[in-house]
Amino acid sequence: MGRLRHDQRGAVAAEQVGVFVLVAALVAALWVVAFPQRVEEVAEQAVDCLFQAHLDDCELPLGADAEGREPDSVEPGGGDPTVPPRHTGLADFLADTPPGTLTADDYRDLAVEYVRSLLPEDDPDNIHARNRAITQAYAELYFLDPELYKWAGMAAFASDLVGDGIRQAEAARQHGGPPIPGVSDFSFTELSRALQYGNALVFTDIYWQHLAYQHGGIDAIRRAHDDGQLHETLYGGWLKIDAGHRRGDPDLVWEGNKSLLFYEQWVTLQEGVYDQHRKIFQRLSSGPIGRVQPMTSPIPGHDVTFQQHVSGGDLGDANDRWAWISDSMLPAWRELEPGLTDDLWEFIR
Amino acid sequence: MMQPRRTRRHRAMAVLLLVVAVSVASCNNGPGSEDEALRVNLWASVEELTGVDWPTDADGQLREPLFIEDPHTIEIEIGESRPFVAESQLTFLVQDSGELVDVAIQPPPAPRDFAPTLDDLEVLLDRNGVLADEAVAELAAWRAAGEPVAEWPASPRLSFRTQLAQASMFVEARKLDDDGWYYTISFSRPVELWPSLQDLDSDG
Repeated sequence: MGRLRHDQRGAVAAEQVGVFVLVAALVAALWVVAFPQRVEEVAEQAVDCLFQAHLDDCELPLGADAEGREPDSVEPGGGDPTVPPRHTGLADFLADTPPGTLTADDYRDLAVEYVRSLLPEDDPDNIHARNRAITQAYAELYFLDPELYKWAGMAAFASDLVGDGIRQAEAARQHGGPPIPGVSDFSFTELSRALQYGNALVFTDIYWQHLAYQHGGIDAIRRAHDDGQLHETLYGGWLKIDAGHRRGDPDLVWEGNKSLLFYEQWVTLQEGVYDQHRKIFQRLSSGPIGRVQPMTSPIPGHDVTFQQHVSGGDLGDANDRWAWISDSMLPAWRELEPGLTDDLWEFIR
Repeated sequence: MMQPRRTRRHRAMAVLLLVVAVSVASCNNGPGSEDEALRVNLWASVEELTGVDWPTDADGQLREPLFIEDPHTIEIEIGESRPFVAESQLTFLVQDSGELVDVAIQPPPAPRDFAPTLDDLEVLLDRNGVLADEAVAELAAWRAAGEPVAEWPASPRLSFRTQLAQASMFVEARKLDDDGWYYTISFSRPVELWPSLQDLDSDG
């Protein structure tokens, strides 16, 4: 039977540490011999990267804000106040969509049409513009009904952080330099592509369901499910959101949104991104990079890093990642949400 | 967060320490896998799983889902029906109050072209006697339409759901970036039968 990754980690026996220190010293010596003329230069670059001294020259992925800002300090808002909807282009777009029975594929097409409408006409293939369009689309979705679309608000912040990661991966890719064994011996091109793909994949999987619910109510969701276009987990999540809405039960709404998040993390991203690029995410989260530059939460004011919450964890391991997201990040989002609506509004141009 | 600049000596030392740390970290990979078939029983207690123990947290509570990612053989018992047997690269088990409510498997060993993916899926469903009419029709429709091509950000994906005697079977094929196609099959209790949701829905 297959092993379970979360059972794999354990304390390293003291005698093993000694052996590996010796091995490490040997590896380091070989590395110096292999790159004699560049070792000092490479060391300098590596450590500058690790300490974010030259953000413009050499940036590491998924770290702190690209401009070196610390997360905004946000006072807890107490959770679940009334957050009024704000008018957005998405509201107009849906208002222009004729009423009637639409299929899941129709809603998927609408989602694609809308996010493509947010791209700059003169540069629609720009990877950063694409990320910004997805981020904005999530934020607009949230403002359609902040009392319901909790997942969308969180997704906007997450997409924004992914955008930072893409920028940093692209910068590192262009920077070049030999890979450092065990530290940066992965492809930044692969990392950038993984982030871009994951960003689009989550959008593709989940966004259209919100349009369906907003436009056609729970009947549209039920139809998608009955047509074999919606997994049971997602369907169950929408039933909870809808029931919570009808009952005025915010706990149930949050529980339903958590189901969407669960599917996004365990199915969409685990299968589509993390399992395809295990080495990269292991390096970034539990390797030296993760120790020096922890994985920060996308939620402003939520200062618990992945490494703080799951010591020694691997972001590519769904168990580790979900522990951080469900036990720390999601409760923080609920607590901080009232104070973050202006931050979300800033994603909308 | 900005950090103070380090001297060159500090930098060289830091790099050496990083390499040491990497080597130490590399010994955290734990034991290898055991070759044992996984046997699961949908709707039964997770204590009845064969081949794996459901992990618990420090308080002895069952953790959330279980994700098994080494290639293995899985036998899924669904009530009185014939077991569904497959080779799976990734298996995903979900429990609710200690009862196994969702099993998802990913059989293909690697992403591949569209047509072979459908062939593989059809053979597997046929071998397990669940090539129901809906599944036949869906697969035929997928073949007839050919490989879907999608513009950014849409990701090519096909799915269908069919009701087996005692479970809902959800089949999804999708394309991974430029790497090719794979598919997953999941068996769930139909949402309509979830007691809590049934109550909610009937309140409607």
